[in-house]
Amino acid sequence: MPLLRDADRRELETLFARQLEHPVTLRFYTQRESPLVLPAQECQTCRETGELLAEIAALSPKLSVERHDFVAEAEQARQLGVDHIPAILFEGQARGRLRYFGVPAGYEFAVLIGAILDVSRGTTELAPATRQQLAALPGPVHLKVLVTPT
Amino acid sequence: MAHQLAVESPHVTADVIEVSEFPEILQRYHVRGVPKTIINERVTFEGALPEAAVLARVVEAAAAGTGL
Repeated sequence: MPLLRDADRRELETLFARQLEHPVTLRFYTQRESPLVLPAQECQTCRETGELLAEIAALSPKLSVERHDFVAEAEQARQLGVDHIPAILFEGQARGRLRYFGVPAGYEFAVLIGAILDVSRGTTELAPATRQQLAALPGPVHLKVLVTPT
Repeated sequence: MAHQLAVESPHVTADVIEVSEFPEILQRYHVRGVPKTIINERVTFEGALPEAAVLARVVEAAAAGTGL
């Protein structure tokens, strides 16, 4: 059963057609699906997140999902700072790195769509003063925003 | 907003983390209310702040890391 409702699917399809510019790859770190995974090791939300990303990516030729096995590709995951799954890395026109950990449910769905649009355009609505300060940052900045889906 | 900062600047990495799935993260950062933002493991704030206030904290965290 699809995760997105038909009305949401149509709305997103229109939004993407109007606002996506450059292609976006959703690099998705997940668990390889296998009946051999022990319950204690199972990533409960990986399957749902994978399905959601597949449904979203199907709504635009500019979107693609690249699945990666967190265990088989552990070294690459570590280098990319992926230490929890499910993890989504948004690759496109962003100058920095955007990541999402967990299933983007509820209000966080808007965060997912917003990230896709911004990374596709490579621009945001941040104020010029903000951009100036960002350009003058003296060192690296790693922000972690902790959220819940309600 | 964190993601937007990362779109604009090569210096920025922005993670949004849905913490109900990761109890060890909840514990590590003593999360009592969300959203909670942690910058460079040293500057933190809860709730949503105006853009200028977030920037001030971003700059503070970046400067602290360089010893300035």
